[in-house]
Amino acid sequence: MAETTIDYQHTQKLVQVKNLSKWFPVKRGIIEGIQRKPKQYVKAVDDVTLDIYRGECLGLVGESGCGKSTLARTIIRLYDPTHGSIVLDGTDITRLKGKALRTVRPKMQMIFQDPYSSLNPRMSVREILGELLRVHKMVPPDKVEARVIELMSLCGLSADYAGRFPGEFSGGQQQRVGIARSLALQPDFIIADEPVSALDVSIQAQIINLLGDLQQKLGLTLLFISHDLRVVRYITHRVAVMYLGNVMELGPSEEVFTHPFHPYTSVLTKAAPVMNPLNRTREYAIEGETPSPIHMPTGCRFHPRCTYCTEKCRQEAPTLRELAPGRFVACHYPLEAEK
Amino acid sequence: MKKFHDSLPAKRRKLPAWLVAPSFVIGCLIVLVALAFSFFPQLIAPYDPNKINILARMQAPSSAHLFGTDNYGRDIFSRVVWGTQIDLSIGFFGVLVPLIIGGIIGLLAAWYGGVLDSLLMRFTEIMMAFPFTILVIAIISILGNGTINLYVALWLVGWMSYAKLVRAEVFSLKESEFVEAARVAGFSDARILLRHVLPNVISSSIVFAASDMVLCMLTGAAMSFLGLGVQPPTSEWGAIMNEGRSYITYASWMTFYPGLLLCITGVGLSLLGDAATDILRTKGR
Amino acid sequence: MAEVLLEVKDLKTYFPTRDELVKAVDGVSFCVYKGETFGLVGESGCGKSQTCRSILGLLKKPGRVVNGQILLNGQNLVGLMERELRKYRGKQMSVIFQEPMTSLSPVMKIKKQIMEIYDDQPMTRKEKKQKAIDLLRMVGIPSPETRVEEYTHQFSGGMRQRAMIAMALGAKPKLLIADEPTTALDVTIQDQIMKLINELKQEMDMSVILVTHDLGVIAQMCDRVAVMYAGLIMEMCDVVTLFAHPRHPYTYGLMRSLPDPAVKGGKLTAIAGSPPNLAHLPEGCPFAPRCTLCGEICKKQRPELVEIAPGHAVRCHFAAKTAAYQGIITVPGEEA
Repeated sequence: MAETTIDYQHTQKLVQVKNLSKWFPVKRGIIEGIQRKPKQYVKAVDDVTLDIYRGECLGLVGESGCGKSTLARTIIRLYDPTHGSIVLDGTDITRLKGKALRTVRPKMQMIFQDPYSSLNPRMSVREILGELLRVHKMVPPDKVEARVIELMSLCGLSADYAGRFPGEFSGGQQQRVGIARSLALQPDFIIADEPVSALDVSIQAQIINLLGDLQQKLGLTLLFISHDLRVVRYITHRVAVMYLGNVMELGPSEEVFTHPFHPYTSVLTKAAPVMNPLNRTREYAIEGETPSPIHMPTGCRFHPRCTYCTEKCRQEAPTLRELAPGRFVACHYPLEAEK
Repeated sequence: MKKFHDSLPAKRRKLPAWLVAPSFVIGCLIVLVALAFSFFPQLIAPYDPNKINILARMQAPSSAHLFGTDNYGRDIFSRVVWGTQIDLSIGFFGVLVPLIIGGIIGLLAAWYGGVLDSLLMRFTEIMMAFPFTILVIAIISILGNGTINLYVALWLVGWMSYAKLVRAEVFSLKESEFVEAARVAGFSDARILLRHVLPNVISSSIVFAASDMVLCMLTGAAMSFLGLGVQPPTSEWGAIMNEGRSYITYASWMTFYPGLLLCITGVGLSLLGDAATDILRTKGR
Repeated sequence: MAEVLLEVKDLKTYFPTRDELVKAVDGVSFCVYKGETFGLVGESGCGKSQTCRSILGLLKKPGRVVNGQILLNGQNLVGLMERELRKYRGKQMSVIFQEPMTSLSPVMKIKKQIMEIYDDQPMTRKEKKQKAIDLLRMVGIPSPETRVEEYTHQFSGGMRQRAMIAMALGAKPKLLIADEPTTALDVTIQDQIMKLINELKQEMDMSVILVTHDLGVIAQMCDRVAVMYAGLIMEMCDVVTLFAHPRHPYTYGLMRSLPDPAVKGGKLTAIAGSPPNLAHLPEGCPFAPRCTLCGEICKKQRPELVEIAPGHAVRCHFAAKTAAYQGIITVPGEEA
């Protein structure tokens, strides 16, 4: 995927996310309501600004609780945004509801993490794909079957499997069905939410290759979410690193991983176990765990765990700014680039 | 993060366990016999159930009258056979309508959540606070006797469990990925609820319905026994038992046999209900 | 020459169900030396977890050890009654599992769960509690005096795993079996836990059997490794050799299918097909359907695990051909 290059100067932005927030209210009891205590929120996504260019594969990485899944689901309007805006191919889809939203849906589709639970266990592959084609009238009724077979073969599934149910497939094949489903409506934009995390290692490569092929063949724009940095580095053009609902760093994948600007990115890249038994030196430190998103640290969210933390970091939250062409960081003291 | 065992499940060549289990076979036989009684009573019952024959009154079971005769000389066996369709209907329709009503209420409450859910659930819970049988009696007393009123009472009182069952399942299913996928696909709420959610939440209700059928049947019989609900001379089992009540010390067959059939049918339905659990558990996997 | 702590000989663990016989472990032999970390790597369904459960005697019904010996310090654990096994479990050998959320009791305080280890020892409650606090401190939990009074749900994922390690090490076992201890954790926490296990292993002079599917974890933590597939060991050697000179097509295929930071873009070399169904293993080598080197003999005859070099065993008919394989690391001093 990443061997195609994107000319960012001349490529259109397909998805523009501005100051997007998704807050979930914390349920409180009647007593607290009467006492009029201030409402608490889980700020799963907080003030994220991001552009996704046509034809690129943008990676979204972070550990559990960083908000990447919530961000994905908010962009694709499974959730209603709390603040901010989402513009898809020129259309503001932030507040769309009902029929208007359903009309826009074919343009953005999703591949889910758990291949089995993302498929209706009581519908065969033929029915799953056929329903999509019929409801959105993608092809005339007599051509539906042919198109179903076509989609399946595009994803490496033999036509004899059309009558089978999800439970009769292996994990890798189920994910292929999931990918075929995401292609049925011919979207411009696909969000892949940890598409290979639940699969065996020997199958992951097959699915990654498939996604790469499809992106090239069909000119798709992909938002690839994963916690596995190796995979993200390999197949994405750019990557955004999230922590506690914020984007900490954004830039071309290779550069971000080899010369990170944000201390958290640096920690992430160094924490992944290296596949070389001769290299066992651990040259970084991070202590503690990700704090709860209900009680965010003041100032910079990462400051309690950052080795370079200063008073300013405790008081003032840094904003995402462009430090070098195409490279954005949210940090008061970004690490120097060793170029 | 659960990793998948990525191999293909084997094709099962042997019969599924539930098909050969003795409980299923017995349950099946009982229910088949009961259904035969219901649909073809004229072929099975030797006599007209309402034919009065004073000469033959109060006869103990014999080859001529398998279950004996009652105080009017009517053949108990024929009465019981003809009564089967009434009892089975009470069981079946007494459960079907609450299943539908309760299912819809639970579905809507869980899917739309919020205020609607709170309102519907509070209403459900208030209704559930009343003891089942007493509520049925109360409603029949208000509406009057008769078979239709019995049905209405059962319907008004039976839907709550289904509402709760379906609501619980829909709540958990709402968050599952294939429902999210259906929303991402731009399907209307109606389509998602009918085509995607409903088929996956109905199985626990069906299992519950199987045992609920037995309860309904028993309640219907109990109401007739008390003189409410189904009225004589309709030959419903409970009514037959009620008629035999005064003669129980010396003509016990009048009460015993309908009671026996009630028990056996109840057991048969329960066994089938258990088998339904197994079937629904393994289907589509 | 290091001493052998645990020796597993021709272990076979089968799961006989009504419809089929699942051969989860089908003839596994290896030994673990004192003070080493032995890695068992493979994908889901390869039998690595069942091997560990067989060693610990924690097989779920209907699993049974149908063949083989498990010698812990010379004592055979196979066939021992539960009562006797308990003398070894928790004392000489201990285990930590993958999901710390479900391995700890939600209704007992952490203190009580740790103190349980010392149930049969003549210590006062105060002493046991102090031991619990010391253990929590040893595994790096801050303010152990207060945390020891808390319940499981008040601990985060990483801390629960640390608590599990504390419980596992309380009785100073000689063998620690860690079944995917870091898979469910974030990568930064994973790293902390790995470091912790290593440190404690040194301090307590323990051996560790580390079960995982992550080759990175293997590279960072293990001394020797066995690669498992379909209930069999396919390759077994020391960790450097594994990455520098893999000799089994499966090992090689696995390594090649992982993204290499040095090679940007292009396709990954995936292994074709899917892992086998353990109830219906093909005749011959279980990896044959997916193997690039598959020949006629591979389909008919299962290869034996053969030592092709000192300390390096491979189960493959065509092991001679695989000498040409290039590993993913180069050992300095050897020609590239």
